Amino acid sequence: MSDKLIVAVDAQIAALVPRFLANRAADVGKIRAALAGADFEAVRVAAHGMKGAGGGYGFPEISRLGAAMEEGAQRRDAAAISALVASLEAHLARIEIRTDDGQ
Amino acid sequence: MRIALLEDEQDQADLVSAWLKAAGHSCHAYALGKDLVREAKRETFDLFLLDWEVPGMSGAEVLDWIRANIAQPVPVLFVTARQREEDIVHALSSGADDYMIKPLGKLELLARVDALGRRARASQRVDEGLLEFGQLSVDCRSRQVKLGGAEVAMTQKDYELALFLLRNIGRLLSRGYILEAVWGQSAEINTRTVDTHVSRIRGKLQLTPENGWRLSAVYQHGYRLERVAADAR
Repeated sequence: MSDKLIVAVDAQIAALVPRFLANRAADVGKIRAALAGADFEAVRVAAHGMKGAGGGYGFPEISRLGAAMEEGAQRRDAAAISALVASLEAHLARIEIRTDDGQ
Repeated sequence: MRIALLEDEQDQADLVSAWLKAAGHSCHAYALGKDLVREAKRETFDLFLLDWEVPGMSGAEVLDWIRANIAQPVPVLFVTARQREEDIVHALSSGADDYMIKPLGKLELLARVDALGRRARASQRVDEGLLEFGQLSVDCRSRQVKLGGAEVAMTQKDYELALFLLRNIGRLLSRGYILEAVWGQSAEINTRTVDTHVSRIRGKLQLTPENGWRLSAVYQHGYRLERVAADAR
């Protein structure tokens, strides 16, 4: 059984999705680096953006993880954020895009 | 509609711009509040879509500026990731017309934008059939313009521009806004084209103070058509 997560994205924004996902993959590294420096504000800002945009792009799980990371940053809970970043990384690795052109 | 978007998150700005453009709107995105304000001083927008939390001048401060400096009641839709009731109350009591909580959904956003546009148009609505302004009349159904009872020959674009100006009496309209409204957003036309047509309309429809009109060019901005006392000089 495939572990891939097939996500149908709106044809109107299909061209934007690869960059959105690449930026989230970059967030994984940024958040880990911020955590290493105990920079919770940087974590919060990255997580806040993720929370706001994920659902609109068709990735509600990214919004959910962003919201949880933002809360973790406000609590300065490095362990919780580390676990969430690992979940984000795993989630991104599973995503496979299919353009939903309404056909 | 011509929409100004304040959003510092590039992915979010790209997403909302794509949705709005696909729905037939034009979207001008700004990452910083001060950049939006600078443009709003010389450009005309039908709606502002403001993110609350942006660096520097916040969405709330931009809203305050809009309400203090733009005479026409342009609708403002606030977008925020904050879900606390007091934040929403604050935005609405500061003059926002509506709000949405992120993450945004395409259909809901477009429905709210359309609803705000309808409301704004309804408050400015003039008779869609026959517009009469003393000696000047426009029959929107037959697309016929008369001055002192005599028909004025006009090209299609001159007619559309005249109608647009007459539907926005008293409102300062930027050249870019006029261009998009009359020629369409994809038109590759220089804004000087607007100047040429405005000049022609001023002459053909005798939009001069002697006739109770002032069609003035506003430096680095655009045009405003106003009614004035017929004996004004």
